[in-house]
Amino acid sequence: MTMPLLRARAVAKSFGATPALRGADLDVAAGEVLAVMGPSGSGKSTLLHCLAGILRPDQGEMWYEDRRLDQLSERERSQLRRDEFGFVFQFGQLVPELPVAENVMLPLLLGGRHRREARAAAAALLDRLDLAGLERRRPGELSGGQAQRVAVARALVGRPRVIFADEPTGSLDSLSGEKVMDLLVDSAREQGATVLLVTHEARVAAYADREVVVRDGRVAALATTP
Amino acid sequence: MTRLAVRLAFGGGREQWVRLAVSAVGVALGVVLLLLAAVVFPALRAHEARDAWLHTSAHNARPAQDETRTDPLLLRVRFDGYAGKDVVVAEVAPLGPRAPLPPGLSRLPGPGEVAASPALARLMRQVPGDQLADRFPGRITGTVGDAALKSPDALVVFVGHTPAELRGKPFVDEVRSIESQGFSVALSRFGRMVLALGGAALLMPVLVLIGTATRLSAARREQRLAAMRLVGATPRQIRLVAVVETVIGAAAGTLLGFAAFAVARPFAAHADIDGSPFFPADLRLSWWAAVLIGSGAPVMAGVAALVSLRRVQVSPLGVTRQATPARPSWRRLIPLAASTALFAASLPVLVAAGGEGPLWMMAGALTLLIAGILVAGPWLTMGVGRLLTAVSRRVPTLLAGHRLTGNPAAGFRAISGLVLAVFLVTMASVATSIAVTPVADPGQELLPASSVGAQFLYHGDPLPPAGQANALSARVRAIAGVTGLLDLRWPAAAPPTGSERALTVVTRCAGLRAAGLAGCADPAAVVSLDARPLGNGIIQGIGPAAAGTAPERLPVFGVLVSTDGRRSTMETVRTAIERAVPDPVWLPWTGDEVKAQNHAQADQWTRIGDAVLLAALLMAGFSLAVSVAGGLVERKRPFALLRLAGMRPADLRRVLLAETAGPLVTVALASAALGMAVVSYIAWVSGARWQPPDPSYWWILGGGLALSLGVAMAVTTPLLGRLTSLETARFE
Repeated sequence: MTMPLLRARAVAKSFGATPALRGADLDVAAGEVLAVMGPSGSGKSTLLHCLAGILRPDQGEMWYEDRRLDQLSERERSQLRRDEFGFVFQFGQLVPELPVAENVMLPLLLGGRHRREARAAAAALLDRLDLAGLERRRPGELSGGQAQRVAVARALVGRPRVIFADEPTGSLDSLSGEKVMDLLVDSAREQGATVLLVTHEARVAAYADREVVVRDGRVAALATTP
Repeated sequence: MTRLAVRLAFGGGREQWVRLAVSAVGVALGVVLLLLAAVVFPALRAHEARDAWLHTSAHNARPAQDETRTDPLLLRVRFDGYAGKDVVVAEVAPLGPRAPLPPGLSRLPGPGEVAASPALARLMRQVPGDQLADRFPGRITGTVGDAALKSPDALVVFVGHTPAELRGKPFVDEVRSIESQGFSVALSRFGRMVLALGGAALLMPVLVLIGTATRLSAARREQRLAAMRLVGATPRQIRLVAVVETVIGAAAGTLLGFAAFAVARPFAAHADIDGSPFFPADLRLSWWAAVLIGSGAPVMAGVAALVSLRRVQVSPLGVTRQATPARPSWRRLIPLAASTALFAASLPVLVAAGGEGPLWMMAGALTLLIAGILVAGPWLTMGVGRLLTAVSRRVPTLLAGHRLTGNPAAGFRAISGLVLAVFLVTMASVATSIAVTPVADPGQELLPASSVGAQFLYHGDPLPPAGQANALSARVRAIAGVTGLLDLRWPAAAPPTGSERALTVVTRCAGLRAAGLAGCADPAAVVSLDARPLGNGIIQGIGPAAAGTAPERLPVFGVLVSTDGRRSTMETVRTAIERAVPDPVWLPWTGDEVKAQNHAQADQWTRIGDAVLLAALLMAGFSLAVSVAGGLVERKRPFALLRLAGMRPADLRRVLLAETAGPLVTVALASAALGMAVVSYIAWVSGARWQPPDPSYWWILGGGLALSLGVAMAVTTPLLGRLTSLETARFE
């Protein structure tokens, strides 16, 4: 059995007096598309944020390959997010001041890549995600579906090994949502990326290879990689 | 990375440009004020340097010419007046072809020739000759250039004489060079402290304004930085982006400020700080001040951006999960108490020590006090919040109370500029009042403003004979508008020596009554007066003169002419006296000029104090408006939700007003009280008599606070309407 790409062991996280995770365990295999489901407030987003190195757990261990995520410095975790992870969140989290092309280029520019190289990579992705012609528009001038596709392009541009998607279709109608999911999952598979997908919608979870459910801060059934 | 930050600064479309422009304008305003403050002392020094030649003597401190290569020059400089303005009368007679040339002249006027400054020449053409031009008989053959003029409107005249005409006259110097070293304005220790306080009163609100203006877009920027953190920007990169973005806005503001200063300089030159306007070129900005302000404003803005970033936790998930700000504890009062105690304990020692060093130490102690106020401010604001919450019966005040209690630091930040301005300006105003209020000497009587006086003798000089005086009296009485003449006669056989305890002169009561001074029962009676304070516009009675004194037969000491108060009458009288007695040491003066001179310093301090107070309140008001607007943008969501929940816009405005006015009024009053206490203590230790501030202080302070609050509300009301419109709120 191959070693999981991401592992969570007995992870606990509270916000003030409110516990969000109470000993969650999870393994995610390389190249897998995993859907994390659960009701509102169950802790699924917190689990994703911990696995992505955004939040530090109060207890437990988080592993990315052979590295303890929860013991990495802020700088190392930033570098990991920039070079190896990609993110698609519910509201896109685009930089409103930057046009579409530069939003997509952002992770590469932050990583010190040459502007021309970044622009070429962004252009290729925008073309592939049906966003050609929108390069100069600002996020405020896009529809919800277009903004989410830009977020997908930004998540993919650095050819990440893991894409974290937190309710990526939460703000979209079903047609736009399907389009975003098709593009996200197809592109990720094409690049061989792992996708960790948090959703409460069954039709979105259906894109995944496997589903787990989070309830009361615990992963209900610990599934092993196939 | 820097390029990306530049892109972010300019890339936000219209909204971003507006934010950038508002920040830049705020910084520009601050920079203009700093630049104007920076040229005040150079401008005052320029005035002193331009007046240096007036102090020419046989022993010049810094001769403008090599005295071994010049011939002597007979020079007498006296001060005449016209309509309350000084007229410098320089009489010259060269004793050789290489006599030194005073500044502003291309050649010395010869006998019967006159060189006048442009303003004086213009005036001489405009008014009848018997009111001014007749005092300087001769042909105008030259113009006195700017180099000899303190200000563009200075009235200066050079009158040429033969050596024989000048030699032996009182106060004529034989000089071989012209003095070029300006004499410093003698400011008392207290005066210097007042100036320093005034400067600080302006500087602090300016710095707060620059900080506030650059924080205007902080909330929006933080959201953007959070998005960047999500895609992998390190905290260092985030700080760099924030600093670059802010510095760009501040740099634009600084450039704008320098440009505005260049435009404002000719207008600022009209400012009458020391009694005369300036040549625009004298408002010279030193290179180090330009560098300091030019680089200091952007650096300060960058530091403000970093400080504002420290207040929030910019995580990849946004800035919403920042920790609740810690409640300020009573320990925040400790620095204020400690700095007050330090100030109180050190002041007597520092005042006794005197000198520059202790003055700076006093300024340091005051700075600590200011820091103490800044540290204690949030705690006091929280107290106001709790009070509001406890006593409020309406929703707006309740919400405002909770907001102030929940985040008192933010509440205080909005008013900190005004609070500092109030503290410093109160100190400056009370100090000014103490420094300038004259202490009246009982028993002295002030001469009427409409009078014209002249004193004809000096130590050891021969007195004008009685006949000359009688002729003068007759001539002056014949001038239309003259209502009386007080003829002062010298009763002793010899002229005064200068060592007398009192300059006792005699006159008839009729003259005193005609001059509107004192009532005597018998107009023919002869009384004695002390003429020593006459030049200060004061006369003091001594008692009846020695029996048998006949003033008409005595030499004349001086005259005091009562007029109808019209300027033309007063100037005609003055000209007539000068022509009749051409060589008095002190040329005739008018009552209003003496009064103005006595109050000149007071007026000057009051003018400076009021200007500083207004400017400080203006700056602080702008800071308040920017700060309230910034706070509103930061709380767009809760305000929009309140609106959605059915709260009326008027109630939302009341929330803003209550949370701004409550702490503002309370903390401002505390600051004013503390400022007064501090300066009263300084006065007590210095041995000065306490005086309440000028009434204008209360008007400007009350009006300024109300205006600041009004401006802040006026600026934020449309913003509140836009941010909480139902259309906007729908998307929150």
